[in-house]
Amino acid sequence: MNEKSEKVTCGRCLIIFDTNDDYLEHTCNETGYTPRDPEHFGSQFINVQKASVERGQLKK
Amino acid sequence: MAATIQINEFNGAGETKTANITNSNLGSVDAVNLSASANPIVAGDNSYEKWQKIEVTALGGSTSIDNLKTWMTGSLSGSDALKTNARETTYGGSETYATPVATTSTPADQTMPTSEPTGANLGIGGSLTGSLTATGSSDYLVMQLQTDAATTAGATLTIHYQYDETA
Repeated sequence: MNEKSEKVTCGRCLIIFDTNDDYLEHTCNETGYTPRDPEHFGSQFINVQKASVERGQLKK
Repeated sequence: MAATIQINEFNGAGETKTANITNSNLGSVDAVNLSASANPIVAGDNSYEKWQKIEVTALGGSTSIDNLKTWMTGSLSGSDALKTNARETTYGGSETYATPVATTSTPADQTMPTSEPTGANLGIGGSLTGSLTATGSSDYLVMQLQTDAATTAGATLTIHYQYDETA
């Protein structure tokens, strides 16, 4: 979507990838997880995820 | 499980993309994850624009992400204003990236809401009713801090990014 450059820098390990797919598949040296894994974003994000799932279950 | 989301920032003439930023500090340089104290804005001047996107990196079993909202909480100094392109009405569609500037921003001409907007104010695919049903990104969110000559240092804001997730 209007992005001129494909190169992506991981904000955690600072490695530069040629494509977004390469970035999404890499195992980050800093976190030990890929950007597709919630753990990559830390415990606070995981707590936000859990809370959102719980809110969704309450609505059912 | 829920979707996995990150905030990305784009900088420089080459639109350098940094994924999963750690802060949205506004300052006197065009840089990601900058230190506000090391890059102060002269009173009366503007910060460099921030160009960011919300990216879904995994749906985690959900089917769609939509209804993107952004707003701020906290107090600005004096007559300072945080401007943005985010808006609930007459949304201008997806902005085309331009090198961030510290002159008065053209796309960021709206005042950032100070509470949760009623409806979406940031689009997907150029529309406030757009959605992501696979990995992908929002439209650009552009922000700029415009300071007053009588501004004082030390204001701290929280920028909120919110989305709906459908299982």
